[in-house]
Amino acid sequence: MIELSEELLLRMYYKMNQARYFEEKLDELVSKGKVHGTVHLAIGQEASGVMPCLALEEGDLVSMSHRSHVQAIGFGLDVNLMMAECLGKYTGYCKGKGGSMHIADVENGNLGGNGIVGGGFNLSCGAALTQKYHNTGKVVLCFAGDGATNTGSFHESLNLASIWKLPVVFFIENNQYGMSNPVENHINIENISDRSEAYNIPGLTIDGNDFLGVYNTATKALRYARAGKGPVLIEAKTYRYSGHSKSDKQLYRDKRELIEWQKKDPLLKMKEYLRENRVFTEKQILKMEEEARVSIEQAVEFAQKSPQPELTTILEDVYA
Amino acid sequence: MMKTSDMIKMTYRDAIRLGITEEMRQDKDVIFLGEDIGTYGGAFGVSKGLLEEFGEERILDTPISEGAIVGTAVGAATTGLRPICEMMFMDFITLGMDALVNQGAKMRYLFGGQSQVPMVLRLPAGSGTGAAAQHSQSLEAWLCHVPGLKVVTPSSPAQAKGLIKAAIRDNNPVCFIEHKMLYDAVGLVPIDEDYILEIGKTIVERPGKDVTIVAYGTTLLKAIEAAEFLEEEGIKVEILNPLTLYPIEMQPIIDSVIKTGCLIVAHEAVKTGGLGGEIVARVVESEAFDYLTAPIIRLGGLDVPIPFNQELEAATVPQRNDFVHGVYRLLNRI
Amino acid sequence: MIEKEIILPKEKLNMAAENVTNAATLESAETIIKEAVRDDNQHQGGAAEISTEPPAAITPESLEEHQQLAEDIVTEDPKEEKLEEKLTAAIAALERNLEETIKEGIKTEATEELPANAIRGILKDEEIEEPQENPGQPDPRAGKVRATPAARRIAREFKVELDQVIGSGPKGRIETDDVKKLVVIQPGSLNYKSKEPVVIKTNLEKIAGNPSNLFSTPVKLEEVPEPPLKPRKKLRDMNQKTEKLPNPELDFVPFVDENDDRLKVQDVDVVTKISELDFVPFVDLKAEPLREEIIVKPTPMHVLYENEEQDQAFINRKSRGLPKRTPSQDQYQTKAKAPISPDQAVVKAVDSEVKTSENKPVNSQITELVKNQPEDLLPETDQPEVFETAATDTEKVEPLESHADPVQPAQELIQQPENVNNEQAMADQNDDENDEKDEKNLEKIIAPTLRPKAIRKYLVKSTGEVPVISLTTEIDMTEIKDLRKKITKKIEEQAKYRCTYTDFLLLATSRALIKHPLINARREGDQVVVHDHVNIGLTVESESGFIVSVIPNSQTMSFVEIVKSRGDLLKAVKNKHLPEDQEAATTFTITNLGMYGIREFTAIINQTNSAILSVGEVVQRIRIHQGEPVVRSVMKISLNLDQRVANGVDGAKFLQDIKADMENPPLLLF
Repeated sequence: MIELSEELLLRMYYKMNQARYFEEKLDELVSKGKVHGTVHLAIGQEASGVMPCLALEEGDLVSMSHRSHVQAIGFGLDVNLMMAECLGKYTGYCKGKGGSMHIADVENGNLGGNGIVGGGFNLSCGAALTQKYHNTGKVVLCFAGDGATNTGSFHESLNLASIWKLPVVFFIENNQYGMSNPVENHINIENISDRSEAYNIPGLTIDGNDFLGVYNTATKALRYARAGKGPVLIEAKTYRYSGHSKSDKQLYRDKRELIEWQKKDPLLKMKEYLRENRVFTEKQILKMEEEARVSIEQAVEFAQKSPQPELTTILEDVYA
Repeated sequence: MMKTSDMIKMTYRDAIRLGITEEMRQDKDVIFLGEDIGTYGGAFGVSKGLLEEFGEERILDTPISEGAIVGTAVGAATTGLRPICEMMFMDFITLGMDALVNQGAKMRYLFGGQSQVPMVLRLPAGSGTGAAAQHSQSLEAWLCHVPGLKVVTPSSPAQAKGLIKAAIRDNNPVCFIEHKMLYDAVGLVPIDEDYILEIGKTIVERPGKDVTIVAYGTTLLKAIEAAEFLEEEGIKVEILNPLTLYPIEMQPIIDSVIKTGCLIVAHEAVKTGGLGGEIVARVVESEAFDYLTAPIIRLGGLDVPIPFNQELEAATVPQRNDFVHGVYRLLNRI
Repeated sequence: MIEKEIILPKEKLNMAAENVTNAATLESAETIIKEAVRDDNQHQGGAAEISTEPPAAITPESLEEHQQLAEDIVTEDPKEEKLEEKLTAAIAALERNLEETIKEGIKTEATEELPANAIRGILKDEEIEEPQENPGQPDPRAGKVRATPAARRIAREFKVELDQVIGSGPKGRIETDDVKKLVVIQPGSLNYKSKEPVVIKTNLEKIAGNPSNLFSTPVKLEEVPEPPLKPRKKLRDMNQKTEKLPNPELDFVPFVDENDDRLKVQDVDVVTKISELDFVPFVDLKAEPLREEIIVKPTPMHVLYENEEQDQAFINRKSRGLPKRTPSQDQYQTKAKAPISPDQAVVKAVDSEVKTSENKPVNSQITELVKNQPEDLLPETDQPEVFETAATDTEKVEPLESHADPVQPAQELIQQPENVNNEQAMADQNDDENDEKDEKNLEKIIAPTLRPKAIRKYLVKSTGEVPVISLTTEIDMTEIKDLRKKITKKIEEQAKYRCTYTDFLLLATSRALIKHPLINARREGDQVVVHDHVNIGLTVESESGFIVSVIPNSQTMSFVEIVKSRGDLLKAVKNKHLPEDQEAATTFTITNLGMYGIREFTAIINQTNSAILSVGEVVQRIRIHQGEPVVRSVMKISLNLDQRVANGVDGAKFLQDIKADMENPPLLLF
C-alpha cells in the first residue's frame, strides 16, 4: 500500500494543472505565431506523464520522449525556463538551442526529451549502467510512446537491460496513436506490455488516466528496479486530445473518440477524487488551479522578456 | 626527444591494447563495451587479456545490438562513465548511427552545454582482408560530416597508442578509426604512460620540397613507399598525416602546399564524397591557391563496393604506383 | 543536346517529306543504300538525296521505329513516287538479296563509300548540329588564358600580361617559369611580399650589358656589321653633286691659296665630314693624312730664321748637332715651340681684318684664290701661309711659332687688345687667362698627349654642383639655306672663306646674347658678372681633343667678319697653330655635333661660362609651313644653362631671339 500524503496530493494536482495550463498556453502561443517551429502537446496525458515522475526519488534520472513537457513538469523542471526554451530564449534550459522537444536538465538527472522516437531507450540503458556500475542505487525512468516500441532500439535496449539487470523502468504511454497510425495498425498485440515476456521481465498494463494507479504502479516498478532485479515495462493507456503536432489536422480520428476519452480526463478524475475524499476544499482546489495558471502566465511573461541568444553562441558547446 | 630506450617495438593492435589498458588502470570510470571482447579477446585480438585484468564489470560483452552498444555508451557517458565501445567493423556503424549522430554528437550542443559525452568509439575500417563489401568500408567521411564528433585515425603503432589515450581522455565522442590491415604492423611505441598525441593535429611524416602528399591509413604507408622510390629520382615528396580528420588542422597542409605548389590527397575511402575533396577545397580556399603550380590530384577508392577477389580488391584502392604517377603528372614529367 | 537529337528524329521524320528516304534508308543503311546506289545509276538524284540528307543517329531502337515509320511514310507523299518506287524496289531487292549481298560482300567503290559516308554523314549531322553545350552562348574558353595560380600571382605582382606569355605546360598552360622569363626587374623596385626568392631571370635583351643591372648576364650584342669604309673620296668627287652627299653645296669650304704649289700636288682625300654646319674640322681617322701633311711640310725658312735668335732650343738643337728633324720630332717641336695663346691668333685675325692696310695683301690673296678656285668645295688644306702672311704683315703680331719666352708674347698681347678693343674687361680677362694659359702651355709641353681639358671639365662637373637646365628649340633653316645660296659668292669675296650655317648662328647668338646679358654672364662666388662683350667659343675637335676656340667681341662683328674669324680659327686649329684651349676667354660656348648625325645633345657648361649652346644636325623634315606640310630643313639647338645665373625664362627668351633671327635672316642685317 502506498501512502499518500496531502502534500503529495497537492503536488500531484498542482503539477497536473500546471501541465495542462502549460500545454494550453503553448497551444495559444503557437496559434499566435510566437513559437518558432512546432510543439508536441500532451493535453490529456497529464496523469501518465506527471505521476511516474513524482514516484521518483531524489537523484533518479529520467529520459523523456518528444512529447515531454508534461513529463518535465512532473519531474520538477522550472516552468519559466521551460517556457523560455520553447520560445528559444537564452534563459531557457538549453540556451535556446534545443527548443520544445529537447528540454533537459542533465545535472539534475533529466536526460532530456529526445526527438528520435525510441532514442531514449538506449540512453536510459547507458545511464542505468552507470548507476549500476557506481552502485548509486538510482533508477532511470524511460518514457516512450507506443510507436517507439516498434523501433529496434526498444528491443535492443530491453534485451540489454534484461541481460545486465539494469535499473531502468520503461514507461510506455500508449495514447492509441503513433503519429496518425492507430495502435491496431502497427502493433499486433493488444497490450504492449506483453512484449516484456520476450525479455523475461515484468510488464504491466495500467490505466494512464488514473493518477493513483499510475503512481502506485510506478512506485512499485521503481522499487523493483532499484532492488537490482532488472528492468520493468509499464504500459499506460491514455489519450491525447491534441494532434500530434501543431500542424496535425487530426483527420485520422473521430471526434466521438475524443469526447469519450475526455470523459475520462485525468484532471477531472483527480478533482472528483479530491472532492469525494474531502482532501481539499473547493476553494483550495480552485486556488491550486489558479496558482497553476498564474505560474504559467508568469512563465510566459518571463519567457517573453528574456533575451535572445547572441550570435556568438552559435559556435559554443559543440565540444566539451 | 624520445630515446629509443624509451620505446618498445610492438604491433599496432598491441599498442591500442596498451593504451586502453593504461587508461583503464588510471581511471576507474573507463569501461569497455563491445561484441566478443571478453573471453574471445575481440574480433581482432585487441582486447585480449583485458577481461582477466579488469573483470566483467568493466569489460562488457554485448549482444549484437550496435544501436544499443552505441546508445548505452552515450547514456553512460552522459551520466559520468567514460565508455569505450567497439563496432566490430566500421561498416556496422550504420546500425549505431542514430545513437552516435543524433544522440551522442548532439547532446552537448542541444542541451546548451549541460552535458558532455566522453566516449570513444573504436571502428576497425579498411579493405585488404578479403572481407568483401560489407566488412571493408572506410566511412570516415560520414563521421566527419557530423559536428560534435571527433574523428581520429592512427597510421602507426605509436600513433595508435597516443591517439587512443588522447581519445579516452577527451570529453567528447571520439571515433577512433583503425585500419584492419595495420593490426600487425610493427613499430616503436613509447613506454611512457603519459604519451598522448593531441587530438586536432596534422603532422609531417616526411619532409620534402617538390610535392605535398596528404594521406592516412594504409594509404600513408603506400605514399611513404612511393616517396622512397621517388627519392632515388631526386624528387623530394613531403608527406603529411592528418591524425585528426575532424576537426582537421589545415595550416600545416597549407604551409606545405605553399612550399611545394603541388598537392596530392589520398585515402582509401571512396573518392567521391570522400575527405579528400574537403581537404582540397580548403587548400584552394586558403592563401595556398596562389602558390599552386599544378592542379590538385585526389587519389581515392573507386566508386565501387569492395570486391572479394584479391587483385580486384587491391585495384580499388590507391596503390604506390598511383602516387608515383600522380607525382609525375604534377611535375609535368609525363 | 545530343540526346535530344536522338529523340527528335521521330518528329523530323513525320514532318518533312524530305526525310522519307531517310526513314527507309535507316532500315539497313548498308543494304538499302547499296540498292539506292544501283538505282542511282538510273536516277542520279536519289543517291544525292540519300547522302546529303542523312538522318540522325542510328540506334537499334530507332531503327525499329524508323522501319515502322518508313512503312507509313513511304505511302504518304505523292510527290516522291519515284523515290517510293525506288525504295519499294530497294526493300524488295533487300529481301531478295540481303543474304547474297552480305555474303558476297559486294564491294564497289561506291557502295563501300556510301554506307560509310552515309553513316559518317549521319554522325556528322549530330556533331555539326550541336558542337557546343549551348548554341546561343559562346565557348566559355574563348579569350581566356590557361595558367596555374602561382603563375597568375607572379604575373599580377610583376605586371606581366598573361596574353604575352607562352605556356609550356600541358594544353598550353602557363607555368611560373614562363612568367618569370618575362619579368623585368628594375633595380631597386623589388616590392613584393611573396615567399619566393628574387626572380633572377630577366628579359635579357632589354637590359643585357647594362652595367647597372647586376643580374644581367653579359650578352654579346649582335655584331652590327661595320659599314664598309667608303673609299676616300677625292675632293673633286666630293665637290660634285652626287646622290650620296646630303648637301654638297653646304659643305665646309676651306680657303685655299691658289698659289700654293702643294695644292695641286696634293691629291689627298681629305677628311671632311660632310655636314651642313661644318665648322668643326672633326678629325676622324682620316686625320692622319692631315697630320702628315702638316708634319711633312717643312717649316718655311723665313719663319725659322726669324726666330732663330729667340729660339734658344732651336739654336741649341742645331748646335748640338742633333740629327735632322724627323717628322715626329718636328711635330713635337712644332708643338712645343708654338704654344700660341689663342688670343694671339684671334687678335691677329682680328687685326688682319681691322687693319685694312694690313689685310690688303691678305685679302688680295684671298680674292685671287677665290677667283681661281671653283665655287665648289675648295680643298681644305691647312693655311699656314695665310697666317704667316698675316703675321708678317703685321709687325706687332708675333710669328706663330715664336715664343722662347712665353711671357713676352703675353705682354705684347696685352697691349694689342687694348689697342684693338677699348674694353678693359676683355683685357683683364686676357690677363688672367693668359697666365693660366701659360701654365697650361707648360703643362702641355710636358705631356702633350694628355687631355687636360677634358679632365678638368669632368672635374668641374664632379666636384661642382651646378644646377643646370636644358632648353631645346628647333629652328627652321630653310630660309638661311636659301640666303646662303644667294650670298655665298659675295662672302667668299669678302671673307675669303665660304660661309656656313655656323656663321649665321654666331651672328644671331651674338645679337641675342647682348639682349640677354645674363646668358652671357658668369658666376664669381655669389655674384654674377655680366660682360659687355661677347666672346663666343666654338668647340673644335683636334688631335688633342676638343678645344675651344674663341671669337672675341663678336657682338660688333659683321657677318663677313664672323665668317672670316671663324675661318681663321678653323685653319689655325687644323694647322696646330691653335693648340691651346681658349675656353677661359669665352663668355658663351657653342658646340656642334651635327656632322656626326646628332640631332640634339646636352653639353657640359664650360667652367667660366654659365651657358652652352648645343647644335644638332640639319635634317630635312616635313613641317607645317603656312598651313601645309612641306619639306623643310630643321635643326635643333639646346641651351644648357646654369640656373644660378639665369633662369629658364631667360634662356627661353634667348632661344626665342635666336630662333627668330635664324628663321627670318633678313633681320640679321640689322
